Amino acid sequence: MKVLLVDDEAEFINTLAERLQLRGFQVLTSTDGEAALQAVEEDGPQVVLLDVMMPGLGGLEVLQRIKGKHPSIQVILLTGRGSTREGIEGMRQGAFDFLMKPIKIEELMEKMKAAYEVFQKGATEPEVKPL
Amino acid sequence: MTDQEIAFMGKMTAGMTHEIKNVLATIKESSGLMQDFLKLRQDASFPYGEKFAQILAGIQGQVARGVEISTRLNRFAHSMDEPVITLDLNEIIDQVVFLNQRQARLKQTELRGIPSGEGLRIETDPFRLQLVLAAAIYYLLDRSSPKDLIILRPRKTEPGAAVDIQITAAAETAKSIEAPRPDLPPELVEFQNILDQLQAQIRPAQVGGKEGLILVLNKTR
Amino acid sequence: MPEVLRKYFKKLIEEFRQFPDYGESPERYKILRRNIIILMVVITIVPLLLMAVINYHQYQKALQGEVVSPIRGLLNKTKHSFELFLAERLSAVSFIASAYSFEDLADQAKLSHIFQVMKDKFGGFVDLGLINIDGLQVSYAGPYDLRGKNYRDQGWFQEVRVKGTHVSDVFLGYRKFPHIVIAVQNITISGKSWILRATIDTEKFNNLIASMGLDPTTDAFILNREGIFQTPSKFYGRTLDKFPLPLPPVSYEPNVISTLDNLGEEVLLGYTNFINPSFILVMIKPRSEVLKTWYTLKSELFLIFAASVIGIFFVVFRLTNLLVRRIEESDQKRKMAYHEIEYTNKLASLGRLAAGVAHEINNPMAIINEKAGLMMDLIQVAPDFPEKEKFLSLTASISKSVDRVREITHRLLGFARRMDVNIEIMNLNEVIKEVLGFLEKEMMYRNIDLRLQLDESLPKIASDRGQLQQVFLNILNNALEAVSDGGTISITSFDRDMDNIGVSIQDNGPGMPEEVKEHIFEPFYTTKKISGTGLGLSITYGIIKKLGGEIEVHSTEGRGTTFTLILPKKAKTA
Repeated sequence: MKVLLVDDEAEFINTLAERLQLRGFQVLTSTDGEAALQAVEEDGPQVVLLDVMMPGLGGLEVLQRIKGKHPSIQVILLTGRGSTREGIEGMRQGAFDFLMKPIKIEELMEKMKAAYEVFQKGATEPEVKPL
Repeated sequence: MTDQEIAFMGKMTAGMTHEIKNVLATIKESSGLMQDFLKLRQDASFPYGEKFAQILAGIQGQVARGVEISTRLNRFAHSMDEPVITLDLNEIIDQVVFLNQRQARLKQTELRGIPSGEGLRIETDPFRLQLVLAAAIYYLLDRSSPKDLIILRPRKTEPGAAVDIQITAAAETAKSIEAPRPDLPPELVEFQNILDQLQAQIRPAQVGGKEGLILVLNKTR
Repeated sequence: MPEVLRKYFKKLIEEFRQFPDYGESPERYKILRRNIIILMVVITIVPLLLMAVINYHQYQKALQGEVVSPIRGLLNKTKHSFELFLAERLSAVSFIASAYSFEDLADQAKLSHIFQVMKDKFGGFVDLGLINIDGLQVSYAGPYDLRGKNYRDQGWFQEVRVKGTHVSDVFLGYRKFPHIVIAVQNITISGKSWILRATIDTEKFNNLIASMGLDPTTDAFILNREGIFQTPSKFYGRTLDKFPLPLPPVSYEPNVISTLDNLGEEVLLGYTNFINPSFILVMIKPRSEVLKTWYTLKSELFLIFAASVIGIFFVVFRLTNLLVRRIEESDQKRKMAYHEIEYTNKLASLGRLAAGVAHEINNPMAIINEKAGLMMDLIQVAPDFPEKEKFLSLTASISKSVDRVREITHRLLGFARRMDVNIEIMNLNEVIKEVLGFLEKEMMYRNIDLRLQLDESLPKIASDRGQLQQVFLNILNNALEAVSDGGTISITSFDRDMDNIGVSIQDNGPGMPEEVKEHIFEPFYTTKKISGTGLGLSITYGIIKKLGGEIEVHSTEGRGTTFTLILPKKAKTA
């Protein structure tokens, strides 16, 4: 599974990326929204972990753009204590789920695996696409 | 909020920053211990020796960051102790700028205090002052664009002091505000009470076509 | 093809049944919506379609009947008129043949007189002639000079000799226009026979057809057994031409068939055979005329069907959207409840400032957390890590420390938010119901018996909605944890006195002993071994105190616990 991590805190996602790689994931990282969108186009991840509170192109906007062009890519939002509202709004806009920082890696992996399954369904059975 | 509530809040916050600092110290110790271990085993083959050193250094860095933030928070907490103190306006502005860095960063705007040449001591309510300065900052953040700079520049006036808070271009930080209007912007009306308690006014103004506010403080030492 | 359909259908039905198990994916709402829409559309449109098809056929039949019956009627009527006409003429000739003697009839003058009377009284006769047994025209009354003509070789003569009477087809005889002949043979007692022959005016034929009163597009005419026109047709030929179409099967009852004419037009052909003479009365009506009504009806039917389908789709889509959105919203509300939303909507407030700083601290903590986690991962992967235990415990301690910091900032934020009291006028019953809304799924799932005794006339109070929600959420969560499945939770609201209202929340859980009750509102006091910070009730206590109210707890071991809140009607915040 190829996953893209997006958060403006570089040390955070770099460390998280290492931990996920140890667990067999293919990991890409971006520290801002624009770079993230580019990575989505160029490297084709199946799951995206996205921080909602980022300067510039905010998490929700990145989510909208990803879902607009690649609806089968699953997005998991990262929220902080004060951004649960954005998390829920993101669900409404098509995010697969959301997690609060600091995260428990087991929980993250569970959600990513579930998201990946949904991605695969979307990719192989186009006739049964939800309305 | 009443003075007692503010003082209470200050006490609680100060207490919590102490706790946080303690915890950070614990983290520092644990990582320090691991670093020592690694140093001891430097010659013997230690798996991930380099890697761990790197990780632990990273942790120490973040601990330091956390400590700085808690210290600042502690200072803020103490500013809530008394409703009236004599303070240096430059220092208070420095504090306010720090407290709101995150908000500014999210808007991709820089927040900066421009210190006045001499010290500017005034007698005022530190918490309420910080509150209205923060309100002014948020008001301007809502009207700023990415890459803007918002400066806070205190200056002496007769009889008191004033703080120019303005959106500006980096090169024009010296340009002063012109022709302030007397009316408080509607978004800031809820702070009228606090402004009255501070014996201060906020006036909207413009500098070089960009938005600004002047906080006028009528009391000084 | 049906195999694929069946599989698809099965899948749909399975998915539909499994809705709650779709998991936490937001896809499930899309799937649910799709399934409901498909089901509803199928259920409504299939019967509609069936009905439309049945109606179509019924109408078609009925309409055809409506067109066919009049044709039949007209054919019958006209046939009878014809038969009557011919019968009358025949009997007239027969009468004369038997009433007069051969000599009388052979007398030219007498014959002329008889002929004159016939013409006057009957009409339709053109001439009258007496022919002897050898075929010689003995006497003749009429416009033509036919006396002395011999008919011995003519077909009709021979037929008359055999049959006794004869009505001919239309033919062009010596005269060059169409006429028909009635001939009657008379045999006297003495054995003498002769033939009396009269010619009938075919005008009368044509008049009979004209009297059918047909519209300009309908054609009617008479054919003989060989398909030769006996009367002129409007569109298909003149008298004595051959009918261009094959003759329909013989039917003495009027029959209507649908066929193509010689120009390729679709027509309705009505016909009836005469018994005597062997004529066929034919009526041809273009189908398009007939079908004008049918086409209007058909298009009306289609329009109604199309409009209904569009209407159905519209309603189904809207309804389903509404339904699924409601489900989604209530699911999300519940999620929100368990994440304790923080909203700081003031432009600047202590809450907002505190939140900013808390986040600043949480970021480095998140990083430390990941780094510690990474170390733990590496240690566990390495087969022979020295001092494994030591390192693992140190990293674990770091993670725990991070958790502690998180907890502290959470507390800080909570305090800050509570300091910002937002007063508004509200109906407490509504606040209670809102909080119950967050918890109703769990209560339903666990079969909790919820008893509400909320005073309908409870006066409105001035207080902080968000914080009261927190209070109720906290107390109700505790109650839910205390009771077992199927337990009872009662909520009562009442007007206590002039200044205060009251709310009591009672559960039938195990209750608590005296020692626990004494410390229940203390910070960090908890009886839960694993979860919980012990802060919930102390925070609740703090909120109620801040809002100027009181909170009490009563409990009996084995019976249950009751929390009672007293809240001032007017904001009494310190």
